[in-house]
Amino acid sequence: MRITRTAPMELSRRSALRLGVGAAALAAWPITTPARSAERPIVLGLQADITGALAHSAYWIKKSTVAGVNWINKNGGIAGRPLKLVTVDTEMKVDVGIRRLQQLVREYNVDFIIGAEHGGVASASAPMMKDLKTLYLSFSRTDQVTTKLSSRYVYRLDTNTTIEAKAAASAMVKNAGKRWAVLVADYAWGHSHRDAWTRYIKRAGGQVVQSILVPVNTADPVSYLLKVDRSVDAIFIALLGPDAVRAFAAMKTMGLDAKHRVTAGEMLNLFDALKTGPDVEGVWALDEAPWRLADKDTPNTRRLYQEVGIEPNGRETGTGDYVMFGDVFFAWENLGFLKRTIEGSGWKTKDDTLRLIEYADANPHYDEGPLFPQGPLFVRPEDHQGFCNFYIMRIEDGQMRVKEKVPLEASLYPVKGNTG
Amino acid sequence: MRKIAGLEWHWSSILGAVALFLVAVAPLVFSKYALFLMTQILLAAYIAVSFDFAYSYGRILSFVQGAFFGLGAYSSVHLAAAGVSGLITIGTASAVLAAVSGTAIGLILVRMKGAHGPPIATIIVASIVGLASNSLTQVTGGEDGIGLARADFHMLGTVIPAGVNVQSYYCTAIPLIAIVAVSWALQPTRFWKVLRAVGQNERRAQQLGFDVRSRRLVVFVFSAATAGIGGALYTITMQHVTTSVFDLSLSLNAILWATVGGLSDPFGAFIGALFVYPTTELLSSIFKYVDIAVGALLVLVAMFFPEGIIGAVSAWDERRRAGAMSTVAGSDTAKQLRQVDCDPELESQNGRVSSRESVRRSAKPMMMILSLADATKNVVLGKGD
Repeated sequence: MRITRTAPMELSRRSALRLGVGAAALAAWPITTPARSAERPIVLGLQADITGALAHSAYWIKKSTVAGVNWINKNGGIAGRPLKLVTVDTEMKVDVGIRRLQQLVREYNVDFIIGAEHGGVASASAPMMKDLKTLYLSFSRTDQVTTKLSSRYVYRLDTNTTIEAKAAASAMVKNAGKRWAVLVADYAWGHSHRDAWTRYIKRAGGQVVQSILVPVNTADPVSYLLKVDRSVDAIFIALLGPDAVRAFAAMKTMGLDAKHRVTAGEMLNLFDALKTGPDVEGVWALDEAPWRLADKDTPNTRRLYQEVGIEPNGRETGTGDYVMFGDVFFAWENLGFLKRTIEGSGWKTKDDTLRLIEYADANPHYDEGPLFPQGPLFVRPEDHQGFCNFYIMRIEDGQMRVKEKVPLEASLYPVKGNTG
Repeated sequence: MRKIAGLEWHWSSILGAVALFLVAVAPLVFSKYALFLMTQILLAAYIAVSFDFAYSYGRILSFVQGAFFGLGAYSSVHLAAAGVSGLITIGTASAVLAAVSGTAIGLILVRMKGAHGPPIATIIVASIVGLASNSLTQVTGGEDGIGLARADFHMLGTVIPAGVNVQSYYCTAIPLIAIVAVSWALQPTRFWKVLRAVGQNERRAQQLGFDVRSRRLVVFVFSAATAGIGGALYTITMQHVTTSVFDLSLSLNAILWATVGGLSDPFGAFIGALFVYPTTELLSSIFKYVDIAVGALLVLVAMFFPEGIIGAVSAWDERRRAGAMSTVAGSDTAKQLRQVDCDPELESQNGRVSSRESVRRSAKPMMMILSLADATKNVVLGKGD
């Protein structure tokens, strides 16, 4: 027979401490586990054109999105859940862009996607969202994203070429005159600006008397500028970065700077326009956001500048680099749209995305606020196109100054898309 | 080397057969994203294979293969918009359109003298096509492109949904596998040996009485048709086509894929695309400036494996066999092999080693320049984050 002796139990201070910590952890387990589950991050995919000609835009889209995600996370997240951002690079190539889109959805399991600015990438991505059952917030300005390619899952809060032309045409006929020449890049982007500007200038009582197509990367634009009819009152310009710089310099030499020169939306953001000095003095610009804090000095705009890292003079904090204002505002407002619709619809997982869309379509008006610093926003349910106030600005004394604010109602155009 | 069913089985052929097998079983084992990637690789392989035909057998260093691919893509999107739903009809029409364009360009190219004329001419043609495509936005949609108007297509009574799925994957893979397999099966035939002779030494083939110009033209037209079929399938699977398909970089990449895989081998270009594309994808997940890494990799390949993957495998195979032969140096087989290596006529007929050698000489500097250009382009353009 085997006799066992039980040793008296000794409890040292260290053992007692371990026991206490263990017991506390065990007691906390049922409470902390559900809390962790509820805090599962909402994952956003950012399909950005980080490499290529749109790299500067992508830089600001990413910078503003990251700042917005951090600000939202600091302030309680969305429906109590933190946001997590996954960024991929389209390299401005359509095949890479759609591959990255698939990667975001299939590999990274993102809940929502903030889309590319590149027209081709966005146009190829938008039709895929129905199959991927993922909401896509486009950054592209090409019209077709919310017209013939419109889909239930695709939204665009940012403007497009039609909105710009409709919002600005009347004011520009009044300020610059009735006879117009159009000087645009021989490219889809330039063509769509030409078509929209011609249509809405006519409706505003003016006339486009000539349109000149300039091939992309034209080393010397003089031969094209010589074609400009000297009798016109104004020239509408839609040229890409380096072409625009060369054209402005040549215009000054040729005396065309005496004409009113109006540039397509964001065109002056494609290069450091204010640094080109006298060449751009007097040029008109169309944009969704003013360039200086002084022109819209509200607590919401001030917060945006501070969080993103923009000085009141409209230059980047630390580097003094130029800023893509439209992209900064709408990268921030995309997050506002998500916060409002996720919390309003009770969205929990991707299975609830259609419910979120129904909520967004039923509640299309967004008031100015911390996540909507640009001002009131209307996201039309029929085509998921956003409409906002629009700014007509002019370069005076080396500063981009707001000359007129056009209310969002003025830019509403007939529905051409179908999100049913 | 073994002979099975009348065909010579080198290790490179075995590697190619394994690659074809992987392509065939991919949908059974791959995730949806991997299948999407694989489809894009196969589409890229069409251009690479078409380049290899044009260069290795048509003696045209062609930078215009991407344009033929683009023509196929646009003919497909317009046919679909016109209500055509038969995939065979769409593929055939796209191939014919590309072939007709290839004939028009090829007729000029095969008449050009000197080594530099045809490549420069193809660059000019490709640039003109690229510029024109961006101007003709009514037809091409410019860089915004045109979406596919149909959701479903038909082939042999089967519905093929547009987009990347198992059905469309096989529709993409089967024609490519067929082209590669047929060109491999034709290797021992007189027809193919003559093509090789033309590709290897045009003047010598001419002196032997072959109609070199016609053969070069036929090969070039076939290469254009191959790219056209790839373009048609691109539209069906990607559901959208933009003028980026006419970008010269597409043809440049095709040259890189084919050269890395190994020129003048039926499996070379195919394997090159299968290797470089996923490598780029892998590097892009760990390195931001992926073009630098890929460029460096390609330069290394050009320096140390100028005959590409297939060439390296073949060289290893030949060394191995030579080692085995040294033990039976006095045997009749060894004597026969030495005779083949020394006989210029048979060498021309055999073509394999010497053809690679001639390709190697021209491919090495070309590949290094192209890879460096490709690597620096995006890095210079992009500010990054």
